[in-house]
Formats: sequence, structure tokens, C-alpha cells
Amino acid sequence: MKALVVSNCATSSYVHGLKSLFPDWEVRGAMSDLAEQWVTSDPPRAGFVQYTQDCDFYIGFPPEGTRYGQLLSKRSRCVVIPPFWFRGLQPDCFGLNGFVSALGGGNLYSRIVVASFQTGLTAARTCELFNSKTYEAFDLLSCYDREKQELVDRYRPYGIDLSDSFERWLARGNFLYSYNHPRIDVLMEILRRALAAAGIIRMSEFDLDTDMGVVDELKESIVWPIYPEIARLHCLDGSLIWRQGRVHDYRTLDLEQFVDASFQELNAKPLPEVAELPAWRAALAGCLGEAC
Amino acid sequence: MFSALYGNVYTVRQLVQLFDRAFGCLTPIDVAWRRDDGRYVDPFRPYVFRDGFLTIEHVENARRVHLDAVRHVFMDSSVFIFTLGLTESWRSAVDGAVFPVAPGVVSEEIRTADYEFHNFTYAEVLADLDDFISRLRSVNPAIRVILTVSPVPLIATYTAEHVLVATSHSKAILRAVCGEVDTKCDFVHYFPSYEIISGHFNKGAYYADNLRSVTREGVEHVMAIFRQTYFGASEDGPAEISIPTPKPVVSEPICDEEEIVRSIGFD
Repeated sequence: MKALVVSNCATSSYVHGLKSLFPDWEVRGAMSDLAEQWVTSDPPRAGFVQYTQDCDFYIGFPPEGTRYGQLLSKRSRCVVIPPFWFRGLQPDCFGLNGFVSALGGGNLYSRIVVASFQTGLTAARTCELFNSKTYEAFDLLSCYDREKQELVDRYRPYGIDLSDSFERWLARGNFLYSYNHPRIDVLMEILRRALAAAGIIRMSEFDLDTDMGVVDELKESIVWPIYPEIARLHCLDGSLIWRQGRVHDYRTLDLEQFVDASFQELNAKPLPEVAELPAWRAALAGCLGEAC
Repeated sequence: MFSALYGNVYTVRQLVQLFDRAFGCLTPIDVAWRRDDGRYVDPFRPYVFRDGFLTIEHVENARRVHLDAVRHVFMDSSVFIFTLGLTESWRSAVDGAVFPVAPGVVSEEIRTADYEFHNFTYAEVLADLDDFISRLRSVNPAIRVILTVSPVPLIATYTAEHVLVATSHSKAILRAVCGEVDTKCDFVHYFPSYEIISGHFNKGAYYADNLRSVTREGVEHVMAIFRQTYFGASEDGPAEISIPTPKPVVSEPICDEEEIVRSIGFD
């Protein structure tokens, strides 16, 4: 059997998870943007095109509307796994298009920092904003259940029921390195639930809470902290220490270093249009009015 | 009458198992039932071939063709229509395979101890329909689904309830499940043929004298509404099904490219 995985940063984990479940299968994978690029380039990447046409199983993002999805044979089975992101524990974090994160790669920024920067506050004043009053103004303290429901609803149409999974994940501690990088056992549970929903495997309770022997590659990437006031709500250890990834020697940044580095990047060029920014600035203004 | 000679698929569990049998994920131990006249039938569609088969091998050959057709239906259709009929069922006590009839009805030779009655609950029917839709979309991601509920009341019940009570119980579960799935899946649509036929407003006019069978007028009314709903007001209008296609999901955050393995096996 030939399987193709097309997903985001979880691609490699899903590939290795499938190899663990089906040692006899040939499993290959590509991140979705790369897959699309390979198909639309001139000439297209022949090896990828051929494999996509030949594969027996497609596992990953919904293929509708993609060029690589059009290559899939009618006989190939499609197991859809929507992208993972959950902002319930790191709700301040978001992707800022066109800017490199202070963490050295990717585009993750703090809403509070960006709103503060655009309001004209100094880096030092911005650091003082990291407290429960600001978090409340930004609705960071009470969004867990809403974000959880959003994630559950995103997966449910594909037969992946995660409604009872959060408590188990939390019971083993923080299950997120950043809001789109979950721990490996979370990804493996999602993979197996998706395969079970498609009738390819059968699941039992023994299949839960295990990494299936797959290396947790996302562990090597950045770590966005769960702020202490938010962590306490979920009986987790919180901090204000950010960590860069392996290629940056896992360097850590305290709050001051993180805000300084973010400001440096934000100073370099104009901010793009961020739909939520006016609301964040309003939240910040209300907060400043109360002398946070 | 049937796109793949299914016979009657009354319960959602039957539908899930039909999918699994078609894709090789389920091989029930009941291969063929020997009727009292010595002929063999497929336990999962015992009335499709009135004359039955001479040998078990013939049953198996016919089933291979049937399941091949089922696979094509699931993989190639743009719209799949399913009518939920019953919650009451008979199943194998050994492997859980669900049948469209009580085995004893087909043959007196069948060991009744190997089978059991089961009345599916709301939670079971909902889980089964979720499972089926996931499976269906796994082989046909763009497919859309129309659900209906059979307006035909039970002729008998194996529960201890009166058949009228059993009918209401069954229909309520099936109708509620359809509503739940219609609400949460934008590619699933419930079509109210059940309400059109059984609604009190037509004073039973769409039921035949036996108070079970639906009259030709009832069927024509349902089909007229069906055409208006999905094919536009004109009888010969464009055949464009108007169930919304789900929006593709997009991801916002970008990861550190240096940290993340971006492809495997395509070096």
C-alpha cells in the first residue's frame, strides 16, 4: 500500500505514525504549501505527481480546492485530518503574516505586544501589561471552553470526536508547545481516530495516551509559555519564558527579551492589516484607562 | 430499483456494515442461509433474488459483484440519499452482523440461539451515522448526503411495547438523529418526506387502506417537493443540487521552516 500525507507541521509525525501502524506500507508526506508548489511549478515535480496519482491512501488536509487533490485517483481512500490549532492555553499567540517571530522562525507574535506597539507604548511599558487585568481585557482567561468547542467542531465532521480528549491530555500536563504544535500523543490520537472513523483500524482505550514510539519532532521547535495566571486555571505550571527551537540552540527569552525582540521586528516595516487589531487596541485602551 | 441491488437497508448499522463489507473491513461469519426449500440466500439481502441460489458458492459470487457495485456507488456518486427506516434489528450474537430480517423468517433451520434482537438507541444511531459519513467521505470527499426518514409505520415490534408506541419511539430517534447530523454537517441535508406523508395536516390521505403503505399520490407529492428543492422550481430545470459545499479549512500560523521536516520520501 502507498500512503500520502499532506498536512502542516504535523506531516512528519503522521508519516511516522502510519509507518508505526502499518510497517509494510510505503508512506510519504509533504507539507500542504510544498505539495501545492510542487504541483503548480513548471515543470511540476514528477516524483510527487506520480506518487499522488498512485497512492492508495491520502491522509491529511481536505483535498478539495487544491491542485494536488485533483491528482488523487478515484480509487485512493481519503482520510481527512483538519489542521490542529487550539488557543485555549496560549490565547495571546497569533500568526502575523510577513513578520518573523522573535522566536527566530515562523510568524508567531503576542497580541498584547502588537497592540501595545501600535498604540505607541514602550517595550518597558508593554512588559508591565502581562498581568491578569490585561488578560481579562483581551479575553484570554475565559476562552478555553470556547476554543475547545471550536476545535471539537472542526474535527467532528470528519468523524474525529475529541470532546472527551482534553481532560486526558491535560491530565498529562501541558499538551501544547505552541497553539498549533501539540504533543506527539495528541497527534497520534487524532491520527488513529481519523483512521478508525474511516474504518481502516479499530480503536480501543489502550490506543490512547501513547506516542506509539514516534519521535516528538515538534518538541524540538519553539515553546510558547502558558502565562501563570492562565496556567493556574488549569492546574498547570505557567511561566513567562519563551524558548527558541533546536536550530537556535533552544535559547530562552524572558519577557523583557521577548518584547524587545518583537519590537525590533515590528519596527522594521509597516504592519499588515490585521482584522482583529482594532479590537485588541480597544481592549488595551480600556485596560490603560484602568491603569493596568 | 436499487443502484447496487442492496435489498432493504433498514438500520444505520446495516449501512455502516455494508460499507465495511464493500471495502473489505468486515467479513461476517454468516455467508449464506439455507432456506426451507433448499435454496441459498445472501443473509444481508435475502429477498433480492426470489429464487435463491443453488449453492453457497453462487451466493458468494453474486455478493462479490454486488459489493463491487456498492464500492462504485460510494466512490463515484456526487449525492448519496439514505432513508433511515428502523431502530429494531436482528443481529448475530457471535460477530454483531446486522440483518434486514429475523433469520427465522427465512429458514426454520437456522439456529436461533446464534442471533439476538437489538433495538438501537439514539446514541447508537447517531454514532453509526457519524461513522458512516466519515467512511463515505474518506472514499469520496466531495460527496453530499440527503437523509430522509421512512414514513412507513412498523407492522410489528419485538419489544414489549404496543406497535404504535414502538413506531413513535423508532421514528422519533431516526428523525432526531437526522436533525442532529443535518445541523452539524453542512454537506448533509435532511429532506422532510416523513413530515409530508405522515403530517396530521393531510389526515392520513397519503396512506393506503392498510394504513401503512404510501399511496402513489403521496409519492408524487414528495417527489414534486424534492424536485423543487434540489432541481429548482422548474420541472425540467438544471440538475444542480443545492446542498452547500463545505468551505476548505485554512491554517493561519506559519512554523519555523528550519525546525520542521517539510517532506518525507520525495528527496
